[in-house]
Amino acid sequence: MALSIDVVQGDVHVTLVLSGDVDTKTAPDLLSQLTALELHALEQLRLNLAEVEFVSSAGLRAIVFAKQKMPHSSRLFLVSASPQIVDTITKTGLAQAVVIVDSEDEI
Amino acid sequence: MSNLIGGEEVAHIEALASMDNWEQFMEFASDQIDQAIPDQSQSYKLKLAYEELISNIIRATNKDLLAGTTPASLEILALKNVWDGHNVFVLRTQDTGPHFDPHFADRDSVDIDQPVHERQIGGLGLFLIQQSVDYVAYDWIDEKNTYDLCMKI
Repeated sequence: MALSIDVVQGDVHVTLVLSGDVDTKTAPDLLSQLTALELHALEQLRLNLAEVEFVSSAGLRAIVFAKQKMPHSSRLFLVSASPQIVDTITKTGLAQAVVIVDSEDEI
Repeated sequence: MSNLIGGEEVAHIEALASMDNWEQFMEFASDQIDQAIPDQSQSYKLKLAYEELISNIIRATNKDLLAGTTPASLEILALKNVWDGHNVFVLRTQDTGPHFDPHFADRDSVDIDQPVHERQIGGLGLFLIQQSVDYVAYDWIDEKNTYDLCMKI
């Protein structure tokens, strides 16, 4: 399934609204979008995964890439991820690096 | 003696191990998994392991491919069997790429407590394969890398 990415610029954060699968084929598109952001100066990044059904290790590597480029004090929110995606993030130990929330209202 | 499970063939496809055929490989497995495994969590885990495996195979078989040469062939078989007292669904891959044994049983686990800023890229795919299925096995049979991904139904 193809991946579409909408970039929403907030006052102090950027939200990427993803729709589709983040797999080996599509993860480079996410990486390109992330690379285009000023990650080194971004204090808050939100990935809205409400319309994402599947995230493979290629997607996880893009998330790790973003967090590594962002300031140490920054926060990376994963919004509305499915239980299966949360399970993958948890079992790979990446839950320590992100904040998982059910909706943006919780932020 | 092989540690593969095998089983009765339900369906199969064969194509060149190329990203050009990515959707074909994914759609085949997704259809077969959805038919065989009703539990959504279990089917997701098998799709995840399969995606990681196919990605690794395509990357490995194309890594040293010379320009103008043909990629390796990749065959996928959907199998049903009884294993360890359970009905199981098996996705078997057979590729004609270079011999590569991932040594699943001997692999070091990914350090999931390592801070993200110290994480190295790589290793997650094989880790997720092992974590996601009930059983995974590799063997070199008839000059082909052969993997079984097994999930209890």
